[in-house]
Amino acid sequence: MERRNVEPRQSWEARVEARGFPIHSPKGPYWDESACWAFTAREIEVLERATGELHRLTLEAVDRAIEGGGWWDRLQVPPALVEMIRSSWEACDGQGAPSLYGRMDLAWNGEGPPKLLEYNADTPTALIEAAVIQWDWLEDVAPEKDQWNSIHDRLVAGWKDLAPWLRAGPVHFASGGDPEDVLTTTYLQDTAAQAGLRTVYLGMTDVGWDGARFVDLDEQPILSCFKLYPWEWMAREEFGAHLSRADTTFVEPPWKMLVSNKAFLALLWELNPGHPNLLPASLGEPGFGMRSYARKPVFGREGNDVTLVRDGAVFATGASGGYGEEGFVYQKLYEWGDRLGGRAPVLGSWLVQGEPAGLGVREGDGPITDDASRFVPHLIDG
Amino acid sequence: MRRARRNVELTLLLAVAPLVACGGAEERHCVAPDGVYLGDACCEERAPCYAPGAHYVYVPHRYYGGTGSHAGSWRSATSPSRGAGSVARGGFGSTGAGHGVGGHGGGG
Repeated sequence: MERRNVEPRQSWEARVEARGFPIHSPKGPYWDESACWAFTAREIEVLERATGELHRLTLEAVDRAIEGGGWWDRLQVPPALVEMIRSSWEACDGQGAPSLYGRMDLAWNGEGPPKLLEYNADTPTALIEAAVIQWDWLEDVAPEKDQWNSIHDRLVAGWKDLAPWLRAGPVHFASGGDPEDVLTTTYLQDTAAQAGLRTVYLGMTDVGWDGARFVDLDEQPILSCFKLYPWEWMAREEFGAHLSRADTTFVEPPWKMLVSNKAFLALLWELNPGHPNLLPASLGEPGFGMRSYARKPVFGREGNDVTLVRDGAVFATGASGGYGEEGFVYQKLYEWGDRLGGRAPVLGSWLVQGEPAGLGVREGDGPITDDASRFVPHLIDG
Repeated sequence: MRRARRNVELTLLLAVAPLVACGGAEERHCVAPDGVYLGDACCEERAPCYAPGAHYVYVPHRYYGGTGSHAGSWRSATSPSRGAGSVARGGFGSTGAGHGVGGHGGGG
């Protein structure tokens, strides 16, 4: 695993835009092809195995949380949604309502086991650049090389697998208005269309309630809906009161609400203490004698309100995003050391239908990965 | 091991991306049920190129961008009637206005 400087393609901005990704430099450089990360095939296998193993642990932990043990409270699940989550987990003959995708953020410097920083299981983004843009880059720059990236093909196949389970009529796609959210949702709408599904997009604010059902702008029922909008936001908004009685099948399913909650990291550690792919994590206060840790808001996003502490002293804080009201999880600090030249890349390991599917690497100027951290393409070499 | 992949066509994304970038006005595109772009006439039943199931998709019609941004909707054109009065709207979407759902931040 190493970072290599590479020559950006001529007119790379136009090439990236031509593929449907105009937000390559929203607040300064985001898509960054002045470098790439090179992995060996063996290293990719390590990441792939870790991702599969962590997903297995995740499913076991959801099962345990739903059984009880006080985790409904510790995960701060709104009581009105408990039954909906339970039903979604018990659906499909106990297999759980199907999930389309998710992204685990792993910390790794190429040595020892990769560690889970968090599992973005509900509303992961940075998808188009991982699935499409970096593949185009590889084809242009190093077509003889390979890349861990079957994300797009798996998404199309995933929709085909989900189709029998979805309700009759079009699949609705809904998101908030942030450009990245609109584009990510549109991309997923594209993959569904390529799978042969009929699709309709609408903004979250345009979702209607007719007294019995969620409806679209044509007042047609929303029976199947991909939503790029966090469950915990939906739950506390006005229409959240309708969720438990609405006859809508959502992707991602309600049980993903448990996994995307950062308190889930503490549950994972409690159930699997010492697991090589986990970092010690606790709720409420630093546990296990931790003096070096990341303090993360239970419902935080984009690195907001994260605090990093080493040997008891704060050395980095994320931007303020107003998160933290629901409390914090404390996760042992991962130390990248000097092996990667002082860089601390976060490896976004994608899953489609629970299977490892590809990689997107992000790196920031500081130790906290946030919405300004750059996306750097990768390749497999050796 | 992953070399078999071919170029992907992203019809809808290509239609929407310029509007997200520029905050443009509403446009519509006629697409087949599988999302493939057709000429706009192909959504008219009397057109020679009409394909069963062809429908319009509308790209955002009030996209502002920036703080408090709101993406409007592109929607099927099967019914022009909207807002009969019995439907409440706006009950979702109020959280995180102007911010993405992200999920980027991994922390250290």
